[in-house]
Amino acid sequence: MSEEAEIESDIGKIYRILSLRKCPLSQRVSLYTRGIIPGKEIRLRQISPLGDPLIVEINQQTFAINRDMWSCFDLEECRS
Amino acid sequence: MSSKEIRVGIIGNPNVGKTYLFNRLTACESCVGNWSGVTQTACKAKSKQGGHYEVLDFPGCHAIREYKPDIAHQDSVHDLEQQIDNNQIDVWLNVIDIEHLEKQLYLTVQLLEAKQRVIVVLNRIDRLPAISKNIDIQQLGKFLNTPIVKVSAKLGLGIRALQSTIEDHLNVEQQKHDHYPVQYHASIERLLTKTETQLGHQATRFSAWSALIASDYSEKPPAWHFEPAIAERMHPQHLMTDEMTLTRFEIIQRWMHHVVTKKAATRQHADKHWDHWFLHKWLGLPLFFSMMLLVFWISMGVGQLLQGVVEPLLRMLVIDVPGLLCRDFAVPQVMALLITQGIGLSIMTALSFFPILYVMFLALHTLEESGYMTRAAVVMDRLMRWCHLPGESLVALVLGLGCNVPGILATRHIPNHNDKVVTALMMPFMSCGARLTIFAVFSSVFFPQHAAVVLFILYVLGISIAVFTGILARYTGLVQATNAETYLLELPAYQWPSLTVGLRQAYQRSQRFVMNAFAIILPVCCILALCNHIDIQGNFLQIPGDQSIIASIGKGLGVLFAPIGLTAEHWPLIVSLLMGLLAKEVVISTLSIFYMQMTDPLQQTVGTLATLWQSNLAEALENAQRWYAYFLPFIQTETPNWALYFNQQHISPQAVMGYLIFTLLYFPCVSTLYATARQVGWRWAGFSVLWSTLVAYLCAFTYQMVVQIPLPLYDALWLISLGGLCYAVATGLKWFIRSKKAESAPPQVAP
Ligand SMILES: Nc1nc2c(ncn2[C@@H]2O[C@H](COP(=O)(O)OP(=O)(O)OP(=O)(O)O)[C@@H](O)[C@H]2O)c(=O)[nH]1
Ligand SMILES: [Mg+2]
Repeated sequence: MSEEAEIESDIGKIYRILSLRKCPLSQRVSLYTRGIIPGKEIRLRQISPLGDPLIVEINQQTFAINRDMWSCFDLEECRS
Repeated sequence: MSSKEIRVGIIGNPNVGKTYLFNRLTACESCVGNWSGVTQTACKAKSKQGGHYEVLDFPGCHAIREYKPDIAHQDSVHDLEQQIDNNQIDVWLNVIDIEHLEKQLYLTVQLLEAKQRVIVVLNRIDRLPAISKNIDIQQLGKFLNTPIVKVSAKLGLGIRALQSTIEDHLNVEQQKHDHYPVQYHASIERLLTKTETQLGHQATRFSAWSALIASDYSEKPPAWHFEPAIAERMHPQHLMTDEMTLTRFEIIQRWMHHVVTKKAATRQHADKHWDHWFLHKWLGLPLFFSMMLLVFWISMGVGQLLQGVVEPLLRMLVIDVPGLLCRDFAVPQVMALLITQGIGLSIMTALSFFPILYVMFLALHTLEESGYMTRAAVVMDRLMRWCHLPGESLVALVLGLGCNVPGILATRHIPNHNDKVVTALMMPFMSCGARLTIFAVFSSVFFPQHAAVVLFILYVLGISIAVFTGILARYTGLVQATNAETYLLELPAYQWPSLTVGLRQAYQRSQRFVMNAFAIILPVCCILALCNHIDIQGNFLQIPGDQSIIASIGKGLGVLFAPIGLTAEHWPLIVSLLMGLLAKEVVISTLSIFYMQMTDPLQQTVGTLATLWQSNLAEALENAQRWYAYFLPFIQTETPNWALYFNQQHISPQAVMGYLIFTLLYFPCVSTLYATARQVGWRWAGFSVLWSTLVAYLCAFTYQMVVQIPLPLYDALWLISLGGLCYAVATGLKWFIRSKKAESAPPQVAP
């Protein structure tokens, strides 16, 4: 499956963040301090008009993150 | 209480309502908006209550020492950290949005660890019913060991209680205690104590923590990496930063289990619904452009309507009546000239911006407050990535559409310096409010049928050139792109904007703009009026014209401007372009001085006070009755009297278009130059002046070439060769920059 189709198929799914190890430290810290920490549920809600960034929902809050960051997350699917 | 000024600091995550609270506690009216990063620098003011303490509003931050400590761009956070390190704030009001308690308590914990006196302010309690959460405040207070006050800064609820809590807190001597809300693992606690002792007697547990996490960024591992007790505790891929941050969150989450009893997400559903459309794959971009068009259409319509009603009355008050009095009291001519054409005209010019700016700021405020502005940054992000810029750049650029100066100042929110430089280089091409006035006047005279279309085309041209500049800067390697681009933007919840706050904020912004503009316009108007009435020999001219000093300068420069369609006979337009370097607000006033005095020279002020009143009032009423005309793009909008002097004999529409293109693209004004230099340095500011002026000249010239010579083949050839020339220059520049960089790079060491 292409990367595009893979992300499209993720829309609406709910994942649990296992770790953010793959993100560089400074990025990790900014994720942590915004409440994005391992154990939280994350849901890919939408893809913005030009394909990037992605709109995600964590802790009942909406964030826009780029695809690179999304691919840094270590995720485990919980439910659709 | 001591004689030293008592300082109360407001701190909290971005967009939680700190500035709303600041405005409630003081008599200030600082800018608020529903997006992160509205407040860029700390503001301070005396408290309303007797004014015996000072309140400071700090820019929002998620944590203290969030990033590498040596990153210079985090200057606002650095400011804040210094205040904490030096204990300069007597009490902190830590504002927390009640909807997102958990993540925001992180900063509270950090403040308590840094031994600061904190009052937790739970804001947005008006939202409690909607989010159906029960928060046990007493329990939270016990965990944190701090006073907690519930407020709604927006509605003004709980402010009294907060004020008395601040008073009480300031009156109580701070108890020395060693209670910290978070206890780390025993091995890490030991390490903290050890580091604290190593740092000397001034050190605190917080400074020990700072030193420990700073070592995470250093190349070589610190000694404790090899301590077995810590190594055993820590996850192999975790650093001290991860360990400590996650421990804090673990404890906060434990508190939350006791404090928050009922949860339901209701708001998300509404937000999701709106986001579905505003961030829609196909509709997102058209909606963005329609929104922008709507803002400009409404501001132009309502703004010009107000202008049409107010201007005749204002003209009577500041020009006609003083002129009449000067005539009746036989005031010397030079004096009369300065009173009417200097002071009077400058007041009128400065105030005539007010309606358009006011409505434009109100419309922009509505977009910001509703939460759409951040979505706009998201929609445009990918587009901005072509120039390797973050979405924040777009927010700065959109602000630049109001006035380039705040736009440039907003670039300080962009984390990377190079991105800041590129945004600053793009900024002069964003057509500001002052240029809008010029376009509006000219397009209503020369293109009455298509005024709105001309305006739209000019805006789009400006934006396209800005994007082109961004791409070119990156392509040539003039400003290097950053590799790891992090994009993490919090989308604020949608909300209905408050009309009263919007009206007040728009008034503040436009009033500030008009006052600043007036300070420049007044001397310019006085000097111009004199130069326009004095010839090279120093004689006073009754009717200004070809003989005046200014006319001679303008005519002399005619040769330079001939390729863009302006010849010596258009000297007033050429002079207005030069004056526009001071401020674009001056362009119209310059033209009004020249042309009004040509059509309605000073000595022609006739009539009595009664007739003046009657005629001006009639004009204002007539304009009010034709209110609908201002909203229809194809009906002629009201134009100033002097502008009617322009006619096809004096200047052709093609030359006007050349003039407008040049005005759109050449460097905006000295204030923008200064702001650019402050943000990115004088070298880039100088480059920006040269680049924008060159682009303006080339574009206006190209337009003339294409229009004057109606041969499609010739035009196509010209455009292709110009494109080719640009490409060749860009490639040459790219090659030159690369070779320069290669030269300055350290030589490779042979293996
Ligand atoms: N419902 C509700 N909204 C509020 C309240 N206080 C502030 N807001 C909203 O919160 C948003 C942000 O307000 P600001 O005062 O600009 O926030 P700030 O914390 O100063 O933001 P930055 O300067 O960007 O860090 C505004 O859109 C307000 O409408 C409140 O008590 N109730
Ligand atoms: Mg603020």
